[in-house]
Amino acid sequence: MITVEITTIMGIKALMGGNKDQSLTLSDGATVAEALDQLCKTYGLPLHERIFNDAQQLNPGIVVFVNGCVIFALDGLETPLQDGDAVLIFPPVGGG
Amino acid sequence: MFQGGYMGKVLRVNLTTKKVSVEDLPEKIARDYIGGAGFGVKYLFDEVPGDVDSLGPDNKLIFAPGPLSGTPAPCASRMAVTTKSPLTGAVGMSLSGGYFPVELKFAGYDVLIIEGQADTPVYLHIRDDKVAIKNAEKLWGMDTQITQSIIKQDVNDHNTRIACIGQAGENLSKMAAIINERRAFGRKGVGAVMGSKNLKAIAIRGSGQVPLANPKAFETARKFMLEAMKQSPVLYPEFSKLGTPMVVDATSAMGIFPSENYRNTGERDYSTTIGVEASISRNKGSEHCYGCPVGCTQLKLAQGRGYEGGMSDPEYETYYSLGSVVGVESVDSIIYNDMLCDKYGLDTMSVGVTIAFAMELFERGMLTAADTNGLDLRFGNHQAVTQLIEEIAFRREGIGALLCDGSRIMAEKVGGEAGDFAMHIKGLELPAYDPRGAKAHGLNFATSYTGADHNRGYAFQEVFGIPVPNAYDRFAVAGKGWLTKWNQDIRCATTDCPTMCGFLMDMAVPAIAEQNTADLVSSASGIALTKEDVGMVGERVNNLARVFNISAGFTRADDTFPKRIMAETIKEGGSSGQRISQEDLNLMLDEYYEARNWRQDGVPTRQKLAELDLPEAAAVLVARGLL
Repeated sequence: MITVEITTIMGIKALMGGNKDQSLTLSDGATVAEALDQLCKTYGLPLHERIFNDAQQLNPGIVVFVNGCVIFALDGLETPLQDGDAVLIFPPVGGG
Repeated sequence: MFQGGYMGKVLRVNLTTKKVSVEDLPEKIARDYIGGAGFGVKYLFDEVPGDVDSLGPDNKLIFAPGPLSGTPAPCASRMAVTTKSPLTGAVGMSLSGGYFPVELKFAGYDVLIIEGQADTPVYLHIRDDKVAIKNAEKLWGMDTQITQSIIKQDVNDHNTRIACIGQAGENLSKMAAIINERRAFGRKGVGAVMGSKNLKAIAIRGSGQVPLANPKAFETARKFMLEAMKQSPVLYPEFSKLGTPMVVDATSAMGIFPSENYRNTGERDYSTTIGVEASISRNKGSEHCYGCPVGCTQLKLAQGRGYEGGMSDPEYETYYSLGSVVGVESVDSIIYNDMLCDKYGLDTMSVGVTIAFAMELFERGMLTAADTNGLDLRFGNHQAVTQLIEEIAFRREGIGALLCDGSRIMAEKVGGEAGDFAMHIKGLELPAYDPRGAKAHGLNFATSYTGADHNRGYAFQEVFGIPVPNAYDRFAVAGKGWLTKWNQDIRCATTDCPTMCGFLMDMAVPAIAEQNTADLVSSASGIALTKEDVGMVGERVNNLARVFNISAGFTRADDTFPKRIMAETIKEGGSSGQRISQEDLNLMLDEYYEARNWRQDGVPTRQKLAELDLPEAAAVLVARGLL
């Protein structure tokens, strides 16, 4: 088993019980998709609908970073996770 | 003769001779530079030598909206002011929104050039073709809000739109802004240039309309843009409800929200105290610029002892500059101090970062209470920030005079090792992103033609993870030279020149920004532009500005970072372990210059300047023995 650290902000945080940070235990070799699935099982349909579209791809504007690197620059939802990885999940954000 | 978009006229006002003249806008300039920052850089290059005294009569202020300003295109009420910056010595270009930009178009002009220096305080009053230089002695000493109010009474027209300076500009603070309504041409000391010319304000009322060359094609392009905005995952409802302050939560989680003069970025979580939840609790509504359906500006009313009644609209950058970088976690003090900066006409960003610099020197014992007029300048002292803003605006003896010209000059005045803690590039204080955790965003700070300026080449790929044109690892160095060139050119061509709000480009049309600009500008003006033409405009402006800066004395050595960014590693948070070594910087710069077809000393090649049809730039380099 591996444990990864999940961090979320704003609207996604609100759908995860207001928890900004939490640890998530996964099976060895788990991917980003599996981590998100597990979170959706815990927090229910509203979170699932916020993150995934009907094709089980990320909704537009949802961004996930693993150890600081956006998963689009890795293997997307199939990016494998290692024990201790930091996973950051963003709702659509812009401005600045 | 223009068919639309452009009014075809340049208004020139010489404050020394009091001469007012109107010239035709050459079609070649419109085609090659589009408008806004493009016009500003072109006229600056042609008319102001690089070595001119930025606060002398030979410097000029060039105000230019774009061909989309005043048309029904969404979010196009933007205007660039371009000058030689007294803060940096480089091109000083700053953009503002609101209602002032379109009014110049309605009055019949694409460009307003202010030159010379008045003997006594004046303001400029433009009513269509009636242009008057009026006495402003009674306004001198007044803040920006009272100034706007009194001028409206003076001209007996409350719909007159006004841009003015406050006391900071009068006192030639090199961090002075030009304020219109509550918006600002904020950065690079443009307000000091206005103050040096004894020009208190510009008041405009126009009665015309901006014609459209091809209304049917324009409407198609406009509808496409509006639909793209509706489809954006960010604009509605998040951005229209929350505005830029939501970025505090994002950059905090990424570990790039700078803290306490960058000495402990990532070690404190400011999102819990000055993040979006705290800031939205102070909301009193939103404001729109002319023609903007989004309305991202969030009006906030401060609460609590000492700050009650303070109302302003701080943006993300101000939560950093008057918040985290000075160690302040009071959202009420940020709102209040933002209001003070607007009132006195100061750039919140440079002011906050310069105060942070002073705080670090104070905590290190390099400044003492004797230097600070007795103020306790430890990080987190928000009352001291309030006091310092006044000291700076009025250039008061002691700490006010020490800080009022920004970090670079302050470092020179303090001497010794002080400069090691001054967070600026080319004299412009850093924006609210620690470059160690976003390398292309940082490389843009190092190479932007205006100094450390996030808006000249915003790396949304790194900050928001948007995979356009490709996805990038924000910590990586390789590929960031190419990406920075791409970001700078597209931003310039599709937002700074047409002129259009940069947020739309990032959030609505990032993948098709050049085509979108080509469609809107072509149909508005009748000048047929392809997306390739648009892309080349961005490259042309960046090259011409680079040559201006070379003529002002800048070299590759100035494309660098503050010492702390290169010597210290971020210790905690989402960017833990990151820094930018000298080797990293060299690799990124080499790649950037190669992508631009510049020599490795940062000078554009003859081939590149010929490709961009910039013989005037080549001639300047030849005259300096650089080509």
